[in-house]
Amino acid sequence: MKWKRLWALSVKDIKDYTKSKYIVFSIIVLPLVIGAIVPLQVMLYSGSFGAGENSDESSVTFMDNILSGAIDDWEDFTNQAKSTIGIGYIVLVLVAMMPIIITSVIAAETIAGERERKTMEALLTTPLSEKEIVTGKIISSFIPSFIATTVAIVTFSLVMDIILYPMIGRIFFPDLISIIFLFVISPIITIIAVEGLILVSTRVSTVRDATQLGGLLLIPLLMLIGLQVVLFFYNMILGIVVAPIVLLIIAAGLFKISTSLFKREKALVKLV
Amino acid sequence: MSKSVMETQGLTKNFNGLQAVNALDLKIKESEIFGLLGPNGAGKTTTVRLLTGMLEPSSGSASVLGFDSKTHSNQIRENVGILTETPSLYQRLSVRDNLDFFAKVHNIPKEERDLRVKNLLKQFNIADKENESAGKLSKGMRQKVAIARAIIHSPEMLFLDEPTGSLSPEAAKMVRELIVDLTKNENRTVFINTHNLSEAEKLCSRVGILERGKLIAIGKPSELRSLLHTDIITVFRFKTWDKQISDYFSTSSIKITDEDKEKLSVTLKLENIEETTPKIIKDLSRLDLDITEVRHNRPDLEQIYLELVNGDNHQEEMEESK
Repeated sequence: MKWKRLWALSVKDIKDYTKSKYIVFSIIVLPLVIGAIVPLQVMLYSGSFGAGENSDESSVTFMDNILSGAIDDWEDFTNQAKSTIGIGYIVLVLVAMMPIIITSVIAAETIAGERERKTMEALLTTPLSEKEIVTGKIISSFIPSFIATTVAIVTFSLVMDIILYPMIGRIFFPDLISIIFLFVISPIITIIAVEGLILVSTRVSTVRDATQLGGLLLIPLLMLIGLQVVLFFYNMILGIVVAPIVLLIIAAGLFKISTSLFKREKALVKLV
Repeated sequence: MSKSVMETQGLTKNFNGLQAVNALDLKIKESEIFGLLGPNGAGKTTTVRLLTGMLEPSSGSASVLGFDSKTHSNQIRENVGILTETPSLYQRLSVRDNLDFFAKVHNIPKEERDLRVKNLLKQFNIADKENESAGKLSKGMRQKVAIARAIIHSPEMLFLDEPTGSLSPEAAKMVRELIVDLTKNENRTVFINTHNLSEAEKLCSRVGILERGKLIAIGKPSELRSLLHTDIITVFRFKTWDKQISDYFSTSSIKITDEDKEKLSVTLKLENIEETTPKIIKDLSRLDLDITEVRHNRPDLEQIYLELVNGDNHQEEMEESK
């Protein structure tokens, strides 16, 4: 693979879809909404801004069971702080799902969009190999979701720490779990999503078809994220070491499948 | 003698039982402008896609610039320029970004890339459109950008698929002039797919006629003329109409194909026109008939094409009826 020209394709794609205000809107607004507005809203309803210890005792006990092993000073926290941190982790799962949503829009746009706007044939006339085309598309779909994730986690951490600081007297987010979750697990799952969506996009003719089919693909991925959350709190080693390796193997397998299934001839015949 | 830069042997492509290209044998020499003619669906685009390694042949082989289309297709695409039937520009990107992307995938360094983009925009008179979105350009402009894109890496050989296909006459003329410039000044080998016969006649040194995937004729336009059964048509026009005109031709061995008393003309099919024409002029002058015009109509490429294509269809129908 020639990385320079592969990168040229990714840059071209990013330049191209960032001209679409809908895509830019989703890349900018989604992380801000999920990173700031959602946690604020959830906290507001849960009573985290109230003065009293109004958290449900049974839910705090549940969180005690799960988080006391993972957070050293957990026992020192008040019930209010515990429930706020617990809600924070739930929002964190939403943040982890966000790049998959962004990716689904972009991945569909980059391959099915090329076909829909009749630029695919010109792309196929270039010396880019099939593998380079697929890899370039994966990179161009991954980058914005990674940026969006970073924006979301920074926003989320800021909002959460502003709420939590008066309760626990220290900065809590981002903690080790959230960093690993958002910058290791979530990116790998995003890559799996991109590969899956690119696989789908190579088989349909319009962006709409790709997005609709891609929607189906999101269900198992969201389940994967859920499974990963359970793993984290059930066994830290499993969550931090084993799961990412398994996910990487899945991503590598999907990469092999998507590059071997994307053929110039098939892509051209689909254009006719 | 110029070397061959492209060669096919029995090149065949089937799509689900449909033979799009049928045992194509073709050789193109260096610096030649070759035109592949044929109606829509004849297999012209499939041929270009096979030659540039975008499709794999069902059987047979093709080599372009010494690279086998099956095993070294990327090397072919690195060294040739391809203009697809539709300009296929990235509409949201600027003209510059469109050209820059194609220069980048051909690994042209930044400084060189900038220079080439600048020069091409200037050469094609679109320098003022550099930062405009490709989607805002007219069809003719878009085609110019697409041609510039195809030659940005200075390819040795160009494949142009219907370069003037959907353009207005003015834009088509402009594109034809560009092609002539590119071949005359820059010595490139050009392979043009077209169904525009007058375009092929103006631009191409050699043409091939493709009909349902099969190459039914190949040669210089003048050579193809000689393949025809169509004789050269000679028209005699007179100052006034006289009965003697009809009498003369009815008694001679010359066959009149048309006699038009209103237009004061007779149309003849002559064999050996160099000898027969002066004899007729002499005979008619002796009869005091004023000849105002003698014109030989050679069949143009369109007539050749129609005769060959229709002849081929007719032959097939005959075979089928047997």
